[in-house]
Amino acid sequence: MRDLAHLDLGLLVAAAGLSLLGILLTWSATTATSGSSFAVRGALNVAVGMALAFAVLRLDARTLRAAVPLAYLAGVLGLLAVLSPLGSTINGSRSWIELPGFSVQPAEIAKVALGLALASALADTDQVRGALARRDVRVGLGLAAVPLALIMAQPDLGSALVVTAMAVSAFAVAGLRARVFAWLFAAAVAVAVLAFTTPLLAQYQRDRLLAFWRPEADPSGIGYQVAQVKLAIGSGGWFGQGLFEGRSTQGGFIPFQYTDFVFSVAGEELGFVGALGIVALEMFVVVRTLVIGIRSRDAFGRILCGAIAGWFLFQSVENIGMNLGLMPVTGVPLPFVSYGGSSMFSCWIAVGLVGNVHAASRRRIS
Amino acid sequence: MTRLHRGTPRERRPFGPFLVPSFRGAGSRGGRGTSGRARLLVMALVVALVATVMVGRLVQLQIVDGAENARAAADINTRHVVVPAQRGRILAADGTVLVGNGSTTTLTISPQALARDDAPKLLARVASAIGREPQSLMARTKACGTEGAAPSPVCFAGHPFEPVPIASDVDASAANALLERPEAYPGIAVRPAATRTYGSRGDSLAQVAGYLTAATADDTDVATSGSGVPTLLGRTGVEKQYDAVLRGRDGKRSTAIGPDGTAQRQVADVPPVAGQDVVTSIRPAVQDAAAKALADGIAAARERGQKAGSGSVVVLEANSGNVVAMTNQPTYDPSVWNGGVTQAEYDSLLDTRAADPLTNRAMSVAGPPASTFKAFSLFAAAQTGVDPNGSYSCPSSVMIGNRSYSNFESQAHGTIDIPKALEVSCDTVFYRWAYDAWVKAGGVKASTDAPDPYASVAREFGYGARTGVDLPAEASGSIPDRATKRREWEATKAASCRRAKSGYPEIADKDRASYLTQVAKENCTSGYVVRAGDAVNFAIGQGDVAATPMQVATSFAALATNGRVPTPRVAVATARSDGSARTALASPEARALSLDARMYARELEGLKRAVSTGTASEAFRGFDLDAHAVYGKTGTAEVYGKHATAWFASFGGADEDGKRYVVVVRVDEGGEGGRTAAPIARSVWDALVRRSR
Repeated sequence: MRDLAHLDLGLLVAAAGLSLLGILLTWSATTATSGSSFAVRGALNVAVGMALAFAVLRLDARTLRAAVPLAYLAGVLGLLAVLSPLGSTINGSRSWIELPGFSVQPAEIAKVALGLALASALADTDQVRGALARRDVRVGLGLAAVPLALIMAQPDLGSALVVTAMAVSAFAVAGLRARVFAWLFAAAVAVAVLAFTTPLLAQYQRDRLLAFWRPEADPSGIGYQVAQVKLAIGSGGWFGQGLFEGRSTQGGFIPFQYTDFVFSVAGEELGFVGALGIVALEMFVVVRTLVIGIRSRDAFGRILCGAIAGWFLFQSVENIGMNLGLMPVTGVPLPFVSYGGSSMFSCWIAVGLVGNVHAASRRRIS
Repeated sequence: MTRLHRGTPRERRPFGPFLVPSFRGAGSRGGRGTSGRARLLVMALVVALVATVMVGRLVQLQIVDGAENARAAADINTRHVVVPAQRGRILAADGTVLVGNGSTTTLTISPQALARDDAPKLLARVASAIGREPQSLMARTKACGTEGAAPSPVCFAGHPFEPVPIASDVDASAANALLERPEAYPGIAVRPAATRTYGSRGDSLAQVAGYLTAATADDTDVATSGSGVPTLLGRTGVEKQYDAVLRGRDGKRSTAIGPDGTAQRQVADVPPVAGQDVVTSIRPAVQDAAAKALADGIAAARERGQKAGSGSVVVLEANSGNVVAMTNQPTYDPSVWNGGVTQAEYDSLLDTRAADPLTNRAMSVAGPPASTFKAFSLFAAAQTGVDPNGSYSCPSSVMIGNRSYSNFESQAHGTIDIPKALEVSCDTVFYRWAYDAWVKAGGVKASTDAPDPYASVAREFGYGARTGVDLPAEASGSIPDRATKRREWEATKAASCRRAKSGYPEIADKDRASYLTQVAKENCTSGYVVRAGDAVNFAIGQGDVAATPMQVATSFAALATNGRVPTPRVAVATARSDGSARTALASPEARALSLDARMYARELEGLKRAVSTGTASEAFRGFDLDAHAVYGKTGTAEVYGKHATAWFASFGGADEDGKRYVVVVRVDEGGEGGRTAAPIARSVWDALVRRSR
C-alpha cells in the first residue's frame, strides 16, 4: 500500500484508459475476421504490461540505476539477435523474434534500455554554463548510435525515428549547447536528403513517405491505405458510427488497422469525440510524464522522464499524424492503444519508470 | 503534505492548476536543474502545439468535410450490383397469360477480349462453334453510334466495361462446350437473359403488347445495372405504357470490396420488388377469332385480286371502352426481341416493301373512314334542319359546282327515307345536305369561324383527337374544317405555289399531271378555302378526313350507348403474380353527348337494316340477328391510284350480362367494305355470340 500511495494516479488512469480503449478498438477491428481472440490477447498484453509496470515501480532507485548497464546490454543484444538467423522478416523489416506462441520486437525493449542509459550517462556529468561537456555529448551520442544503427539495419524507420526523438529530448533536458543542436538539426536534414536521393532507405519506406505526400502516386499500395484511413476517420462525424458499426472498419478495408491504424477505428466508430479523447489522453500521458520530470529533484529522473515523454510524444504524433494524413506512414504503434505485446510491455514499463521517478521524489520530500 | 512543497506564486508557470509543477528551490545542482525544467516546459509547449494541430485536423476531416468524406467512403469501398426484378406479366381478362417470362442463353465477350487484335478470329471461331455467321456476332459488338455499328437496337448499348452480348438463344450444350475450353475462347461467357414468352397469341397481340429492349445511355431515368445484365424497358404497347408497373423495382446488392477489387462481404441487400402483372380486358377467344378472321379475310381479298396489304380489327366493350380484342396485319413474332434482336431480324421487320409490322395500325394509322362516317354526318344533317322522317332523292349523281359527284358504282335508288339511305349507303343524299350546309355557311367566302356542323359533330364523337386509349403512339386523325385548312395552307403555301409554276413534269400521265397542277394553283392562291367538293366529300368520310379504327370504334360505342363516348383502355387492373393485391385501374369517364332522339331512332333502324338486308347482309347471312341484333355500316374509302380501303363498323349483341360490343374492321386496299371487311367482323361477332351463350 505504501507504493500505491506514491503512485501518480493521473498517469495510471490515463494509461489504463488508453489500454482499455485499445482492447475495444482492437476487438472491433478484428471481430469480423477473428472474433474476440485479438481482444483477449490484447487484454492479456495489458495485464502483463501492468504487472511489469508495478514490478519496476517497486524497484529501489539505487537498484534501478545499478541495473541500467544490464538493461542497455540486454537491449543491444536483443537488437543483435533480431539481425541474426533468430529474427524473422515481416513486411520487409527484420524486426521480430518469433517465439512459440508469440513474437518479440526487440526495438521496443531497446527504447526502454536507451532511455535508462541516456538518463544514467547524462545525469552524472559536469556542466559548463548549464550545458553538457563535449565528452558527455559523445558518450550520449554513442549510447544512442548503437541501437539506432541496429534498428536501421532491420530496417525499421519508425523505431529509428522514435529512438532519435528519445535521444534528442534526453539531450534537450540534460542541456546541450544551441550550436550543437544546430549541428544536429543540420545533420538530420542531411540524412533526410540522403534518404530520398540514395538507396539508404528501402523502396517500401520511400513509397510510404511519398504516399503521404501524394496518395494517388501509389493508389493500390500505401496510398490506398492513406486514402482509406482518411475516409474512415472523415466519415465518423461528431459521434461516430458506433463501436463495431464502422463501415470501413467492419468491411476490412484498412490493412494493419488494429496495429498502426487503430486510431482510424476510433475516428470512424467513436467519431470526433472519441478521437479527441484519445488525443487528449495521449497528450495527458506526455504532459504528466513531463510534470513528474520537472518535479524530480535529480537529473536522472528528469532526463529519464524527458526521454520517455519524447518517446510517447513522437510516437503519438507520428501515429495519429499518419492516420490523419499529416505525417508520412512509418510503422510506429500508438502508445497503449495499438495491438502488440512488445509495444504494450515497453510502454507500461515506461509508466513504471516514470512512477518510480515520481515515487522517488515523493519519498525524498516526505 | 504536498501543499507545503508547492512553489511560491512567483515561481508558478502558466499551465493551469492541473499541470502546475512544483518548484521548490533548486535541485542538488542549482542552475542546471532549473534549466532542465525549463526545457521540459518547452516540451510541454510543443505538446500543446501538436495537440492543437491534430485536433484541428480532426475537425477538418470529421466535422467540416465529414459529410463529403462519408460519401466518398461509401463510394470507394462498395460495389453495387443490380438484382433485376422479375417483370410482371400481361394477362387476359380471364387470367390467361398473354405475355409471360422465360430465359434464354446468351453468349458474351469481355471488353478486354474484344479489345485484342485477334478478336475477329476469336469471334469467327465462336461463330463456327455455335453455327452462326461471324458477321452477325461482329455486328453486335460495335457500340451504338460508332463507325461500322449496326443501327439501334442491334448495336451494343451497354457500358464500356460490361460484357458484350454476341449471340442470343444459343444452344445450351454448344455454349457449355465453349466454356469448357477457356484457353481457346478467352473472355467468352454465358449468361442467362430474361426473355418474354408469348404463348400462342404473340403474333396476334404483337403491336398491342409491345416489346422490350435493353436500356441505353439515353434512358436517363433508369439506372443501368453495370452488372452485365441489361435492364429491359418497354418500348411500345402495353410494355411501354405500363412499364413502371411491370418493371417493378430492381434490387441492389452492395458488396464491400477490398483493395484488389475482390468482394469481401455483403454490406447491404435491397431485395428486388417483382413487377406487377397487368390485367387487360383482352378476351382470348375473341382475340383469337379476330386474328384468324383478319388473316383469313385478307387472304380471301388477295385471292379476289385486292392488294389488301394490311388490316386491323378493334373490339370494344361499348359502355366501358374496354378493349376486348385488337389485332393487326401484317404482324410478326415478338420473341425476336428476346436476348437482343439480330440485324437480319430487324431488317426484315423494317422491310419497306411490307407495311410496318411494328405499328399498331388500329390506333396509329389514320385514313378516310368512308361511309362509316355517314352515321355521324346524319346528326349534322339533323342540326341543319334535315327531317329525320323525311324522304330524299338518291340519284346516281349530283352536280356540285361544275363537277359531278356520283354514288358508289353510280347506282340510283329513287326517293328513299333515312334508314334506306344508310342501308344502301347512298352518297348523293349526303352530298346534297352537305352542299346546302356549305352554301348556308357562306360557300367559298365563308369566314374561318363560320358554322360547320359536319366537322363539329365529328369532333363531338371524338374524331380529329386522340381517343386517349392507354397505349403509346396514338394517331389523332384529321378533321379538316376551315380553321385547320387555313393553318395547313399557311404551312404549305410556298410548296403549292412552286408546283403551280413548275407543274408535274415527272408524272407521265398528262391528264393526271395537269389535274395536279390545277390543284396546286388552287392551293397556292386559295388553299384555305373549304370548297364545295371538300364539304361534300367530308360528309361521306372521304377526302382529307382521317380516322383510326380505334376512333371509329369509340364513336360507334357512342351510337351503341345513346351518346356516351368512352375512353378505350386495354389494362383494367394490376395484381401480384400470385393474384393477390389486385388493384383495379380507375376507368376513365365516358363523355356524354345529347343525340337528336328522332334521328338516333332512324339511324338505328338504318344501321340494323344495313346488316340484315343492306350492304353487309351478304356477310351476315345465317347470323341469328333476331337473337343478337347487330347494327353496322360499311365503308369503302377510295384513294386515287390505290385499291379502295374496306371498312366495317358495327355494334350490338346485347347479351345476358347486358354488355354491348363494338367491332370495327379496316382492311387497307381490301376493296369493298361489305365484301372484305364485313365478313371479318361477322366472324368476330360469331365468337362474341358464342361467348355470350
